[in-house]
Amino acid sequence: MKKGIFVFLILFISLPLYAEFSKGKIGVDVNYPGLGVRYFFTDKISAELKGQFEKDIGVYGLRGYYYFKPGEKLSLLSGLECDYVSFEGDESEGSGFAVELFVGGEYFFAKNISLQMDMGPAFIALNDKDTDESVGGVEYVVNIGINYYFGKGR
Amino acid sequence: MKKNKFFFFIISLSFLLLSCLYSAGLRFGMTRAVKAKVKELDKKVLEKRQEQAVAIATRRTGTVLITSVKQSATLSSIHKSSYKAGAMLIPPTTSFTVIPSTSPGWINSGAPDYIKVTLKEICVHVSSGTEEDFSIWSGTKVLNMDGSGIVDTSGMTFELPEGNISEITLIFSSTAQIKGTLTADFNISSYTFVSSSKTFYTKSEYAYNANSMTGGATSYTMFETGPAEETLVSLGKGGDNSISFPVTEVDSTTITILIDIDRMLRFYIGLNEISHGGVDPTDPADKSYFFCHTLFNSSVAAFFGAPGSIQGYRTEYASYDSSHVIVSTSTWSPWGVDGWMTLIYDSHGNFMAGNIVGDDDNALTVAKGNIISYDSVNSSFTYVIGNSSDSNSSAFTVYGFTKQTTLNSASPVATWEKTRYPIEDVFYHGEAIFTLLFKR
Repeated sequence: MKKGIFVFLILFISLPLYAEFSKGKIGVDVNYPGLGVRYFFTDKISAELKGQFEKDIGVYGLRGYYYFKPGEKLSLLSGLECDYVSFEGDESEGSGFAVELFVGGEYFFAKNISLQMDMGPAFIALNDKDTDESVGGVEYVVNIGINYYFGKGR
Repeated sequence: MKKNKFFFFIISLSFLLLSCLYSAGLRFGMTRAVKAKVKELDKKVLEKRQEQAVAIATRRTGTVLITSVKQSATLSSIHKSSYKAGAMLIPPTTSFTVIPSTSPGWINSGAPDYIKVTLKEICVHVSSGTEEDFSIWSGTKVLNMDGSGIVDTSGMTFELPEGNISEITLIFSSTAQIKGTLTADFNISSYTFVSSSKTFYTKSEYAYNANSMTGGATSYTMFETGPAEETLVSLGKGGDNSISFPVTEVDSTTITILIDIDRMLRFYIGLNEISHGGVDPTDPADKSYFFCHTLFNSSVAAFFGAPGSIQGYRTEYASYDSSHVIVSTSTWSPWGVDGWMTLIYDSHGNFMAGNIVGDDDNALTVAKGNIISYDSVNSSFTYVIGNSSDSNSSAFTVYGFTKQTTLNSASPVATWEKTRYPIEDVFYHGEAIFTLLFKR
């Protein structure tokens, strides 16, 4: 974990800064409570590999973004997230999946740094491996994070 | 300055918005949403584990009690097959509507010294929302039964599943070892009736295999020289012998299996050339042999609970083809045959189980099967032909039977409504007299 943070800080400090995202750019983000790496396929569409970690819970997934007005200081976005979930509770232990539809926005308070917030309904299904008991249902999720963009854009 | 103010406004607005969302039950981050679901799952898993713990705590451990019975030696000396001798053991106060004529007499039955059968599995059918069969015990337990009472069942324990148990199934090996001597009046003629008192001894050399239909002896004389030897008998045709019993009440975790060996030693003299086959149409008619066949199934009862008392009745039948009416003016004479009936009661005298068999069910058919109920008010009992694998099996009733309390006392003449001769699907009915010869 410490090594990961160190690598992130090195990248944050040493790489050149760019003003706005566009096709071919890469972004790294620190979200609550995890990390992600994002790549822009077009000016409006990007995908992010992300992981979130909490005590005895791991969420690993892929996010797809669509930006309505890229290049503006406050850029509205929407997307879909699919995750694999592993967990260990007080009584249960197992795995599951989560799917979230979200809407939100990114606010650039520096040339290559933005604050992102999105929210939406997430369907989560978990299964206990010992008893085969399972739960499934919708939770409303808010995500916040800080993004740092670098790389050669168009 | 303006820019800073706007930034401060955005931060404040975000903070306010997040506070509202949090109050509304929104989760910050997917891990928090997952955590909420994990708590729900924890609760379900805990409930399930508690249910399982309760189920384990209340699981019923049971034992098997196997009892074999037969008449005492003194009572066994009562002359059997009395029709063939022309005299009947009917008490003066009871009489058949029409005195039966002699039965063919090529087959007679009696009690062996012992019979060793192998119990392989005990299953129960459970209804608890779904219908399921549970194997509660399996193994290879040789039951050595000499009719003297309790049979060794050491090591046979089981756990009963939850739910309503509606049936017990016992699975035995298809063959058994048997040893004994049979004395009775046999017909020693193929076409006419020539009665002769004969004694036959079991012989290992002339064992008859009902599956391959091989073995036996070319003459009954091969069996006339003692002493008796242990020999093999088939308990039916085909593979393992499965017998099912309906369960009406489970107020005990003891499964009692009662096996009445009084008629298990059966001998066919090998002279039936005018009817179909020796014992079954598929069995040889021209060989002499000891056999048991499906009579074993009719001699076994299984139920939950311990027996309080056991009664053994000698049965005398006047058997009619269903096309003949039982009237005193009839010119048609019914066939006569002996048989045996065992009734088991609990400690309060309530009927629990029973079985009824005929000595000779080849040339004529008599009431035969597992007795499932006794109605003391209406003086009747109901039996089923004791093999659940028989898809045509159904319940039949005998009317006019009264439970006796004194040895050698007889029930009034009873009427057995109907029974089925499985091979030909021909129905028979008739009258019967039940004489109490054994009680324990």
